[in-house]
Amino acid sequence: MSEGNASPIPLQFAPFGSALDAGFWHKLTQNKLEVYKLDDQPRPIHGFYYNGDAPGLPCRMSLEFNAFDESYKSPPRCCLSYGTLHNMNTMEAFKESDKKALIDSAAQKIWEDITSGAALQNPSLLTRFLLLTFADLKKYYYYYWFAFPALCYPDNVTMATEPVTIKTVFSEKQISSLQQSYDSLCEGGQQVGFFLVKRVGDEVTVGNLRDWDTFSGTKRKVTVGFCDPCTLDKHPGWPLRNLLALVAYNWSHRIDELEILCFRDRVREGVRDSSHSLLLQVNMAAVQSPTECPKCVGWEKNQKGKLGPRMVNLSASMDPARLAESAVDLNLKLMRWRLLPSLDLDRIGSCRCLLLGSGTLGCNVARCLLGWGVRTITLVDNAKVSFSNPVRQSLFEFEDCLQGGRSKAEAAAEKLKRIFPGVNATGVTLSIPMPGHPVGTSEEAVSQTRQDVQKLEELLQSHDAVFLLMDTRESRWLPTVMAASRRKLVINAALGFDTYMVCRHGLKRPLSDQAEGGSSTETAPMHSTMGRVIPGHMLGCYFCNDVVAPGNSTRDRTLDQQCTVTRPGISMVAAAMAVELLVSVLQHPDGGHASADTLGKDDHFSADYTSPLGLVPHQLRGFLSRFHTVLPASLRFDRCTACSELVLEKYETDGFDFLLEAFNSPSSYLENLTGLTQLHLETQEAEIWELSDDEDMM
Amino acid sequence: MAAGTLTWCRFKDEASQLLRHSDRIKDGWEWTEVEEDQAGGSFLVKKDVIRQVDERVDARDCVPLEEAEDEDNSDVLGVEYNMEEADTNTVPCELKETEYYRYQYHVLYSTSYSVPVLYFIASRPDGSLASLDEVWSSVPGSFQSRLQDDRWTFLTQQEHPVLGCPMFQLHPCHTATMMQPVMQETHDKDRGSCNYLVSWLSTVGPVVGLNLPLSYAQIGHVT
Repeated sequence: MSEGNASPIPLQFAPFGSALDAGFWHKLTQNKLEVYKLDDQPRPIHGFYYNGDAPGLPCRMSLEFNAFDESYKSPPRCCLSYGTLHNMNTMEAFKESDKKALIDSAAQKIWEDITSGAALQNPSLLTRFLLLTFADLKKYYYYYWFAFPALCYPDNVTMATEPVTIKTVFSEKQISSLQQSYDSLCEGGQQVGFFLVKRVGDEVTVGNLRDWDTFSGTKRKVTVGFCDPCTLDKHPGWPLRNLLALVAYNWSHRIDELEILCFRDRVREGVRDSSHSLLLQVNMAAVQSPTECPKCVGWEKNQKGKLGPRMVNLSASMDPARLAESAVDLNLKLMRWRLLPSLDLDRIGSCRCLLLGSGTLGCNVARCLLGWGVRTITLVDNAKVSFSNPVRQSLFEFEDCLQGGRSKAEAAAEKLKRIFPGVNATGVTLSIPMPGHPVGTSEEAVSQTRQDVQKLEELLQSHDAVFLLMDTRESRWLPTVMAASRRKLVINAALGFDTYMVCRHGLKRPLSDQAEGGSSTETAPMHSTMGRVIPGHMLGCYFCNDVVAPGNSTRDRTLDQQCTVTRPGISMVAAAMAVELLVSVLQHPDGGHASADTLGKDDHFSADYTSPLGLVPHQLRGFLSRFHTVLPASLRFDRCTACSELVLEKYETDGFDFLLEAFNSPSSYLENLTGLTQLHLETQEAEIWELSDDEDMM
Repeated sequence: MAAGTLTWCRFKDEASQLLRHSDRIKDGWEWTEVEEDQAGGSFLVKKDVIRQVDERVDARDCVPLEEAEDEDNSDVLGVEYNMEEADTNTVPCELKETEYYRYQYHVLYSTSYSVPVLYFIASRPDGSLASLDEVWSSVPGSFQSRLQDDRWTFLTQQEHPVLGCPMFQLHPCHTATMMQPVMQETHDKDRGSCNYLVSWLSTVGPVVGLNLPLSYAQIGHVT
């Protein structure tokens, strides 16, 4: 091989690249917090490299979670490296640390190991590395810089010929003999990274570096091998550098020719292959043994190709809040992947929900929304948590009732964030003005009411769906008017002792559509006969439909006036139904304009699905005494006191003045306005407006 | 034992068979004992499985990394070390760093389902984790459809039950159902005991990029 006198070819080495795993950073974090604390003393760590990579992969020095173990063992078939960790306490210390001194001291250790003979006994010492780190544990940013010190001795090494693969030189028998001999050298211990090689006929044997004298004797041509993590076909990997230093220091005067076996040993599909290993003919003219440590290189370049530190942002895998977010999202995606490919999770997750009322319904609705991945939840209430609340209102605890009780809205929002930090939850303490609850005429009172109305308008404007979950009927009036005027989705839930009612308000057509003359159908819903299906914009609101169950006398008290004594499960059922109704609406191609079937009795068991999630009913009325639910639908009422055109027009033109009049006047004001008085002279409407100031009512 | 499940003892026995074969063909599986004697406290690990990033997918597109140099750290990253002279013996670095993921596969025993469970994670060279989308993109196309269709490829993000770090998990809820006919068949033919772990792992592994060489099939048939 070496007969030619061609000009020498420079020998260039492929540097190590650092390869860390998440477990390494986890463990470093843990150690920093529990063991090192402010101690920045150098610490021993371990890494490994592998000579079996597929072509195209870079030389890697890998560190894993066990890098800090005292009794470290490298993975099977991987070579061990000893490292030193310099974990700095501050960014300043990281920046200011003396890089030259650090790498020089590491090089000094390697040089001492070579000159003392320690590296002959344990050649793994040749691949020492160092790692400089700073962990910003508030942000989970990690700054790091590796150095793989390589002694520049002998300097500017050349090769006599181009490298060749061993399959061009070795027979198949020799290659498998090499493998067997190497395996027996490693038997029962760590992978041997550096070794001697001898060829006699078909036999290739390997031996330990420390056995040079007996193994190679006085031969003037020797072969030295190393596990080569490099996959380039013209270059060896970094570990060869310090091996050459060791060979030059110990034996340069005793040899004329040095052959290097870059041992590459890979397994593909269970078949082992080493034939791509390289053979290099290194020109090893006798070199002067330096009296002191040779100069050294080896700081790793960063992604920009410069000698500089790297930074990794691990908040996605280390920040518990971010982890919770991705786990929750993945769980929801599963539902889409497995069961409902057409499920549009973004439509649900991005739906900003306003919950008016933070009692039993508010708490349970909020929890169920979290389950669906809704990220913006705003809770409104004017009450404080009282001692009777926590057992039913699932976001509160005993502690919340102490010292007069915390604001319900704020406590609930805070609990939501404790359950899932990824949620954007806000609590707003606000009294919703109610018709028939006179505000008075004092300037202060009027201005407070004006502020409250304005706040509510802002809230409605900045949300996509509104849940009406308050304890009184009349407090639902103002948001119903406002939401109808702004074309927002409204889901209403109300409870009786053992009955509940959940409904979506009809969603009026966008203002732009109405201008195009759709008004004839808008104004006369009562007279049209549309068969079984009512379009979404023709559906009624809470005030169009009485909440008492069909068949009951109108003289019955409304359900929500009895609600201090509800069966506890009712709120959970109704809250879940309210959320699921919203989700079904959101998944319907027409959204809030989805039409609803006027299904009677049990027809809904056989009706065709109208959305990927099934039916999108107008109302659900549940009767716990019979464990039964019916799904009626009803038309909007053209004299409705909340959503009729008469009321909306008045609100849109007169604004706060109209609202103030409604609040301050007796209930007959609205009834006169809409013509209800005239239509139902004999009804007991007055009862609907009966006042309720009991904060503990649901 | 219910059909399609296996006991902790059998799990350990089969794992040691698998390890012996892995050692023989140098496949790199290891046995990690964390809580000795505790059912489920020890597990099989295969580390450092390297897969290059598919060129079609730029990893950076999948997960927008937060802008790193937004504040006072740009000067840290700008720190340069100029003491080192140009070293002519270093292979000149290619412009772009090779993008690759390092996979780690863990095979644990689920005491609640009495079946093996596959956990895995993929890291970039800096230790940050690849997102699930990136993982998918590095799986051969032919297996991607299986992810959509196969019921036993239920994936969740779960903490490693022993190590506590976040990993992806192929959920064990359908494993017994999937394995029942396999185990039934080998049992009927009475061809010697089949290695449950090998049959299972060779079925579900490829979906997440873990390939078991064919020679593992010899386990149990050739002693």
